[in-house]
This record gives sequence, C-alpha cells and structure tokens, in this order.
Amino acid sequence: MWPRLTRLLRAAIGDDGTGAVWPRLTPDGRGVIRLAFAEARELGHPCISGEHVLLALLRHGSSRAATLLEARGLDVNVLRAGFHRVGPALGPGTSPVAALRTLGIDAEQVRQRLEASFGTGALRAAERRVRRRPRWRGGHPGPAPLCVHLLANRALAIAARFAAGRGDARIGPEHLLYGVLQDARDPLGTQLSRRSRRQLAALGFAPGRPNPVRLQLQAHGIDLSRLAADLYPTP
Amino acid sequence: MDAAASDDPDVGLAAVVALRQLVEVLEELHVDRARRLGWSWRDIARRLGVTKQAVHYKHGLRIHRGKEL
Repeated sequence: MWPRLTRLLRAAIGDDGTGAVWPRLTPDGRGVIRLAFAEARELGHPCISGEHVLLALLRHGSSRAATLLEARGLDVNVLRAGFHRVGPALGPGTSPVAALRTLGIDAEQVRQRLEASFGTGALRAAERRVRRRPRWRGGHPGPAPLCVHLLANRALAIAARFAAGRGDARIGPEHLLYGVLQDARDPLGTQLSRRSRRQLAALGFAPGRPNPVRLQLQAHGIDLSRLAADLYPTP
Repeated sequence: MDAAASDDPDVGLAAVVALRQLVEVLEELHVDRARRLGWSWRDIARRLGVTKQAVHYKHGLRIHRGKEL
C-alpha cells in the first residue's frame, strides 16, 4: 500500500522520484551518470536517455558492466556513430536551444552568465522548481532550454528496484546497465502518462517507436535478455 | 541562423515555448534573490506588475529548507 500511496503523492506534486536515486548511487554509478550528461551535451541533445547511459558506461570503463559490453565487441565510437545512423531517439523535432538560437539568444551563454551571478546551485534549483511547478500555479509544460531532460527515468527506476531486490545497498554501473537493458526491451514511452508522452513528443521523440538501444545492440548481434542474465550469473 | 528557418512556424513556436521557460527561470531566480535580501512580497509584486496575491500564489508556497527565506 505504501509504495502506491507514495507514487500517487509524487504524481500529485510532479516529482518523478529521480532525486531519490542519486544518493543511492555508488561513486562509480555517479561517474557514469555524469558522463552520460557530458555525452548528451557533446552530442547536442537536450535530454539523456538510455543510449547516453550506455555510451557513458563504455566511456567510464572500469566496471564489470563495461567489461561485459567490451567483451561483446562494443566500442564507444562505433556505438556513437551507430546511434547517429539508426537515428538517435531524437526525431526531427527542434531542440529548444536551437529554436532560441534562431532568435539570436545563445542559451549556453545565458546559462553561464546566470551561473556567474547567482551560482550553479541556485540556477539548478530554479530550473527544477519551474519545471515542476504545476499548471494551476503558473507552470508551463514544455521543453526548457536551460536544463537537460532525463528520459532514462524508467531505466534508473528499474536499476534501483533491481538493486533493492538483490539486497545491494548502493546502485552501481552493473545495476544501471541492467536497468537500461530492461528498459530497452519495451518501446519508447512505455509506462508514461499522457502528459509525459506529450512532452516526449515536444522534444522530438516518437512514443511507441522501438528503443534505439535495442535496435543498436541487436544490430551487433547481442541478445538483451542474455546480456542482462550474464550480469549476475546464477551459480 | 537563416531567414527561412525563422519563418518556419515549427521553429518559431518552439522558440516561443523555450523563451517562456527562460523567462520563468529568470523570474524564479530574481524573486528568490529579492526574498533573500529581505524584500517584501508587495515590493516584488509592484516591480513585476502584478498583485501581491498573484505573487504569493505563484511563488509563495515553498518548502523552505532550514534557512528562512
């Protein structure tokens, strides 16, 4: 009953529960998520999704998950190029940063100035509050130019649940890989509410399309469920 | 930036949404700062050109962490 009540409460205040995952990550897990954000920034994507986490796992390297992936012949550069070819999850929709650029506003410069005068923490907190402000208090749904959207939410939730189920105190790279693999088995936008699907579409995603992580891994001849099973082989 | 791109309603409308979000973040930052400096809600509302009830409605209910804002 409690999980259900918590979920309802969180849905009411617009909290996706992602904040609760961060303190539970191991230092390696945090490194992977940071790299995933860096990956998204370098690719110019306004969001991080499963494929960025996968690339970050490979880039981070020093984990059993990365060794498993490398043993199957995956390489960061090949994979990154592959995501471009398969079409990254991002469709042709315009990114908010690009849209602002047509008006002559450089979102990156705005962010740097605001960070210089208010501090990184304050800016991030303000973004967060604006994004989570409910409609009836003046909130506008839509892609925000100053933030990176977290679309790997479901993967993170699955990873957290998996770690808890195994009795591991912290969430490491292996759990993250498991989460991404499990999430990739379903099409994009699975288990999302109608409003979240709309936001997904506003970011240029097509809900219901097969997950690019799955397409890419299958193109390399990797079976998702077998790889997930290999993460923690049962004796 | 080319002229054709900014004619496109697809890009133009996306820019409107992005700009609105940017304005909201700016407002949030400045209201927060003003409160930290001890401004009253009435003064903030006057500068923003809305009623103080409106500012309370939008920014008032906050869960303050430890420090009094």
